[in-house]
Amino acid sequence: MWSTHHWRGGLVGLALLVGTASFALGADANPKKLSFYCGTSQGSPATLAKSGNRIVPIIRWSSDAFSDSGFSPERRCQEVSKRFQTYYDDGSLSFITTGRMNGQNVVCVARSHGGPCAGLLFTLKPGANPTQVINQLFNIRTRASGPLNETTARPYIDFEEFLTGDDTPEPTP
Amino acid sequence: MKCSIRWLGLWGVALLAGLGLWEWYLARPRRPAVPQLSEALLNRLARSVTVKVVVGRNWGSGVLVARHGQTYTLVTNHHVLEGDSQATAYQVRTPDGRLHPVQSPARIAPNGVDVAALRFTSDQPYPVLCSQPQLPAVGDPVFAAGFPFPTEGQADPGLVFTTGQVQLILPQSLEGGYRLGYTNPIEKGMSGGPVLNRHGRLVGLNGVHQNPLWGDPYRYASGAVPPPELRAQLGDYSWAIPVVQVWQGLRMTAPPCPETP
Repeated sequence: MWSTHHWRGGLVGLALLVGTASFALGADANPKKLSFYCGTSQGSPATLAKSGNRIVPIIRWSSDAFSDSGFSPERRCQEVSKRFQTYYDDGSLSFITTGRMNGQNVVCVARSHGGPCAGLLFTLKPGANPTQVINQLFNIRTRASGPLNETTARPYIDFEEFLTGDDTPEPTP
Repeated sequence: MKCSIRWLGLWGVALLAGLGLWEWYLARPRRPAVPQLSEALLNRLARSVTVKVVVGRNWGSGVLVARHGQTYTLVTNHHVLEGDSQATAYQVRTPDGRLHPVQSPARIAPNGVDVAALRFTSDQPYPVLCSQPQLPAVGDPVFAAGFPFPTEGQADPGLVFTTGQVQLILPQSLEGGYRLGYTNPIEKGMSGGPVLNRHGRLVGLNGVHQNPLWGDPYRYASGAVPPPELRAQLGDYSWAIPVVQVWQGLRMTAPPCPETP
């Protein structure tokens, strides 16, 4: 009888221990502990978000559209990742919007929902659809989909246009 | 007098026949209840109907829901198709490893529900999952599947099957039609994958993982904001679009479930 109680006490202790351990593991999902930095994803420089031991690629940089102005994909990745961190820290990353600066479309942050651009996040390459880009950034926050790819491999194709077009893709072997 | 006895007899026979019919009605064979499946069986079922939707350099998940001859229909999230603006075509990787080109155009929900339907043809026999039109109840066990992205530098984990339960059903849908909060861990890449009940029927589509990376993305589709005490809980759960919203959003009719033997 005594030994049974003892055994139960042990079980409760073990459960408490496991509970504490899983709580500690769960704490790494705390959104306050997010850090942004430039790393690589699929061989491209990429803005990554690290939360505990989970690393999520946000944008893969491989466009050469800005190389002429001295901004290689690596340099853009470094700069933009730093901005993500700054705006994340000051809380404005919650209000991503689009605007125009120096005649170019930009993705920026605002001080409030629906507010005007208050800080540059990154410049869009010519032809990119600003609304689609911020939709993708919105999706990355919480929807279970992948990162944004910025490439110049193909000209930009309007999503709606593709969906209503009747070009049938070539079958893959 | 003779006549009234005859009538009485007739009434008696009618009464007996009526009683007989009543007895038969009570004892008639009932339609058997939909059986509950073991977790191993649910895992196998999920594996056989969950597909990978390849969109350029990204992918998401999808679930086979209808077959007409050699044409298969799958449902996924609209945001899966937005995964790569450079993609000119979508492809579907079926559980047997075959890659099928998707027939254009994709069917998109016109009302902002985060769902899309894709079609492909194949002469291979693939099972399809039938839909459970009723919402599950809070506390019901649910099973979610999909193809998460591998962690950088690690091997592709392939299909992941997770168990959990429905924890919160919102009074109205969040943006995109998300209304079912469940405890199953969902990773990026599992969007569009199925949420099954223990009978192996489709109750919803994955799409929103727990713990948003930053900010507070939760708004009702109506534009209203959930009250603060509710909002504080929303990030604790994964969110699925109930299967009724999936079909209504697409303006399509769910094929009926086959009768259980």
